[in-house]
Amino acid sequence: MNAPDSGESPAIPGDGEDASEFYPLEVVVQITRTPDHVIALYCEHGLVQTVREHPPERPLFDDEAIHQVRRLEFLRSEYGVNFAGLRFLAELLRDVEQLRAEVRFLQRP
Amino acid sequence: MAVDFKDYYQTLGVPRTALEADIRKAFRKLAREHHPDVAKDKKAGEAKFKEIGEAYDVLSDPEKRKRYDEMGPGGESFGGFPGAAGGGRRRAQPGGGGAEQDYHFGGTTGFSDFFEQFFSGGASRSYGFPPDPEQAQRRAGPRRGGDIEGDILVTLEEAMHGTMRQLSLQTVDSRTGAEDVHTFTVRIPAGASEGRRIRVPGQGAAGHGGGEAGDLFLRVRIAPHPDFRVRGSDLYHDLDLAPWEAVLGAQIVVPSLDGAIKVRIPEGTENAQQLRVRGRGLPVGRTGERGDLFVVANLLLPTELNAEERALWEKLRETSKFQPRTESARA
Repeated sequence: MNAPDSGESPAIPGDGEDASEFYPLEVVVQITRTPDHVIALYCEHGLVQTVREHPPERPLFDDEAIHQVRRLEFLRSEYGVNFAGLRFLAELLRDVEQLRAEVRFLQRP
Repeated sequence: MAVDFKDYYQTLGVPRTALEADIRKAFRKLAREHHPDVAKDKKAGEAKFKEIGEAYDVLSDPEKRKRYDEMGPGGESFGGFPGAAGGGRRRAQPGGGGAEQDYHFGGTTGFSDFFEQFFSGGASRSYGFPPDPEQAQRRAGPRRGGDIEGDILVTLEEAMHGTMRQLSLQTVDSRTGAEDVHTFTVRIPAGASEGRRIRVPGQGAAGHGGGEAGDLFLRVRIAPHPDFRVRGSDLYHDLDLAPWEAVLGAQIVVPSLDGAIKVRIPEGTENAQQLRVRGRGLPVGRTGERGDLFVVANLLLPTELNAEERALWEKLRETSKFQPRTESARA
């Protein structure tokens, strides 16, 4: 996570120059405006990944997780995608990202 | 915004008919020459290194190369390139009023404006705003602006140690033509891996009705490196070996991000075999842990033999019990 030099940004814990690049659940709730039980459900079903080196009882999230929560919530609220659909799309998107990364790896000199 | 055409073939010093192998070879040679670690002028070296990497990124990808070639040798038709609509800039559609905004990064993402416009992999996707302007208009109250996505090119060394990068994001309101430029610093953390997203709060699309601005998500793209390929936090180095080095074993000095290291090639190493050097890859998160370096054996055969060498190979053929094919394949 980065803090801009200029312009206004919401005063959310976790923002700021010296802020950690990882966020606890309550900060993710604030940033994404998504209830904690929904985020917990996403995590439980592998739709959102927590930082792997932290214990599950005190999960931490990175910018990728913030992006993913927003994406899932967008699909849910704007397109009415149900949970099964979200899971399907999340797996599909993950596969696409992995394949893209693999193609880039193989194309390297 | 008008952008200058980039002659990627000229950048790599290869003809337009160059084969993939020639392009790879030219890239490796130039990248070693201009690598920031060896260039006399580090800043100029880094700029040139990224320029070479950008050219390789386009010319080594068959689809991108085809699109690039369609622009013509001097980019005669690059203004009309399909898919260039919207200026190729990042675009987010704020919820209210159906107005659109274009976003253009300054040249500090590591990519040229030309690359940004035509070849950047970052699709213009935005989340967190209503997709339908009419529907959005009916919604009352403040609404948060959409998020913007873009790519940022990072060298392996930057990914290893982390870096600060100044970015400028130009916003053009396509309805009023009003331009606004935000400049901000982005911290690339050590261990930033390919595809990882970095969030810059409040640098996305403007909010509406008093709503806060969206965020900017930058996707890390690791610049091609002459010595290493990257997979997650692991590095891969292709090591060319003579047949006798693979058969008899050898000790060979290979590059790593920490400087040259000596690697023992065991007897009977096969082609494409991977030898792992633990903890010589990129950092993994903030744990202090590091990925691994994989040395991949790439056996090369001599193509020109003098009389003495030929005699030795012939003697080997007569005395060796090695059978590369199964009994049925030999029949």
